[in-house]
Amino acid sequence: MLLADDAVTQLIHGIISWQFLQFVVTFLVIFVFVLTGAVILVLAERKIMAWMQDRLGPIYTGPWGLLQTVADMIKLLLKEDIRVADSDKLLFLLSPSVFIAPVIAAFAVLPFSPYISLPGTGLATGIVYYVAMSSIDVVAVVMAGYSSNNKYSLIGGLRAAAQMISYELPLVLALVGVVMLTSVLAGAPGYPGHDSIGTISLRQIIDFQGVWHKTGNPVLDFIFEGNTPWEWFILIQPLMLVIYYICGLAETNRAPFDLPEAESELVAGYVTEYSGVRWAMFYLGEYGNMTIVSAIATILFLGGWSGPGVAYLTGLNVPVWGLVGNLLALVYFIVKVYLLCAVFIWVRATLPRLRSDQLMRFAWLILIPITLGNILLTGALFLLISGLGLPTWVFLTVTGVINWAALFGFIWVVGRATVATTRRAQAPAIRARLRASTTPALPLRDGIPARVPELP
Amino acid sequence: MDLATLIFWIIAVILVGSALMVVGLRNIVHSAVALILLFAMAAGIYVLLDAEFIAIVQILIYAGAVTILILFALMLTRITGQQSRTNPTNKQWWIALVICTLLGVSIIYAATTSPHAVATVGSDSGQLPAGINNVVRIGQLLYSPTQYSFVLPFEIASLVLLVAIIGAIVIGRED
Amino acid sequence: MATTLPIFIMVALAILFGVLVMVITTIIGPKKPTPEKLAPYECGMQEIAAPKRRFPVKYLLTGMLFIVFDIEIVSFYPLAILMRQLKVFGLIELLVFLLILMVGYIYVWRKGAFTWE
Repeated sequence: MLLADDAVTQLIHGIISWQFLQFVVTFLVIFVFVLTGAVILVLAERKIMAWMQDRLGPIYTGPWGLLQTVADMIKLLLKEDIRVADSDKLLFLLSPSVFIAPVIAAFAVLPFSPYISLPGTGLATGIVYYVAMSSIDVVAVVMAGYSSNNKYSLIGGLRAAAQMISYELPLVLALVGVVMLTSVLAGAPGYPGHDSIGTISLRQIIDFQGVWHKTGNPVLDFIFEGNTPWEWFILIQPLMLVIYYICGLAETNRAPFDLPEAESELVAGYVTEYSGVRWAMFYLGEYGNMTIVSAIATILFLGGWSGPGVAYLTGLNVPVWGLVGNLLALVYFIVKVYLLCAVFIWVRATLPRLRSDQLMRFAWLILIPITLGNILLTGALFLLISGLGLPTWVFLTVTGVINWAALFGFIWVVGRATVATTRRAQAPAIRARLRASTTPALPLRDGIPARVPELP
Repeated sequence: MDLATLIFWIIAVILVGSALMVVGLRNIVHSAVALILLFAMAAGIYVLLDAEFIAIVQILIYAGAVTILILFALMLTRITGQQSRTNPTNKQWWIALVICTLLGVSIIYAATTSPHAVATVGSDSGQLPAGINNVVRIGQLLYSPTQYSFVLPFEIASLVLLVAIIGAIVIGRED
Repeated sequence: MATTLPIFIMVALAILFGVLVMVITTIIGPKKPTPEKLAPYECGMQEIAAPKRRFPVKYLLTGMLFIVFDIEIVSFYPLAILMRQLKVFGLIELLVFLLILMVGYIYVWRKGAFTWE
């Protein structure tokens, strides 16, 4: 059969090529990263939160409690597979897979190092691809909630879905600013791209943040080639990083946005009826999402894998130094990602849960207008400054200054909004207390009112 | 015939299969889930046509957003248990089958014989210049004032969206 | 094809992983179901009422608004890529587009669709 023959020859040609080796290496790194990432993060979360709350955390399993999550994982693998009665069997069994598959698929566009990255990292639609993948998770959440035949699951699933779709909008909008910056910078001397066409491919956005003109001084070149922290987009758009990160918290249903899994009212939300490996899949997906959010933030705002020596060593074209450079890049990238994940844990240990009246208002009335305003502001500033004939760095400086100022303004606004909504929510209780205080206080005997007050 | 064709056939078979599942499944939530599969496979077809941006938007808008809306709408109406047939059919299904077959045959006939058919349009017409990927091309077509562009339709699209917003509020009013 | 084929493979492997783990867990786990074990979780109590599968219209409303804004936002990306080329024209396009949508946004806001509970 002609078709099969051709496909087979193409496959064989593909398999014995260097690209295929690269694919296999990358795939192994991604898989190991996803699987160990969850294990490491769960342990880190328990340990860090324990320190923050002046506890010890897990200490018995393995030295210093290090094997706790490994033991947990083995336990989960061997647990009984419970399918709740009267559930929608097909969707119940399917939804963990639907949840985990987009998470793993989203890793296809994440560049880990110059070598350890799929050709997909150059995909022209990198950011949108990641967003599309995370939007499929919403479907899995609704499926899990619907199929569990449990009211907590159903309420949790729908709440999670409403929250995830609401926060997806500012998440996508916050990243538009970075794309605009690449459009401004493209084609400038040393920068990739040409004809002032920007990019939304993650690989190229890293290149935009590491432009270094070789000086010939090997020490300077070694440190700064491809590693220029003063060009990282966090300096130009810090507010967008913060907003992206907040939306990332909401997308992954992490505290303080864990209303769908609020244990005091909804048990465990949409995962209430899941146990064993199916439950583990949801947690793997959640922690995988956490690392993806951190990785995207790293790539777009913190220069991705860049660090001293990476571009210099890989640029030498010697296999050994290339290997060292790539390992360095991998280390820098993973360190940055885990530092951002530590912020997730820090936030969880610090902030109380949002109330449900704050949740939707925060997304629709605060985050969306601010991110839209940022897009308009970036565009208008660029036109104004380039219209005056000033160079690009003036634009970048002005945008950066305004954005840093806006960041503090944002913190102020959020503080005010929190106080205002809390006052409004507590108003009935305060009014009741005021009413009570106008009536004479009752004499207490052993902390109990001595007599029953007459009702007005 | 090559690898792309093989992938096309795999995707096409799943697509048609899931489309039949959307129509044929008894539980309407299952139909909605099959619809997600259908949208994802359609995105795969777009990728094979080198229309990456449209493919991603297809997943984002259709598989991610429209199906969520459908699921919300199903939760809004009353669904009792799995046992009931929430996606009923009646005795006239064979008429629909005949009409669909006729329609399908005529579409296939038109697509293979028309002068605008894929096979008769040269494959070189879709080549983009170097450095211009399809996101950029869509941007140029939609927004650029210098070349042939769809600026006006784009602005009118915002009016359509406005009507959609207001319609959503009017339909969803609780009072 | 060169950039998208690995993504196809990746998606296929991801689905395979999800399905495989599920199959493995059904094989190796013990199975001793009892009616109590399979009952829906209700904090140890008898389940009082099966889930009432009707939900507030707010969820539907949020879904509709999400679609509208999603379409709007996705169309920003091709514009943002070309921002430098389009110059003032692009900004005006963006502004008009946003202004028209802001009418709807403010209408939705005044109607209280963003107020939950």
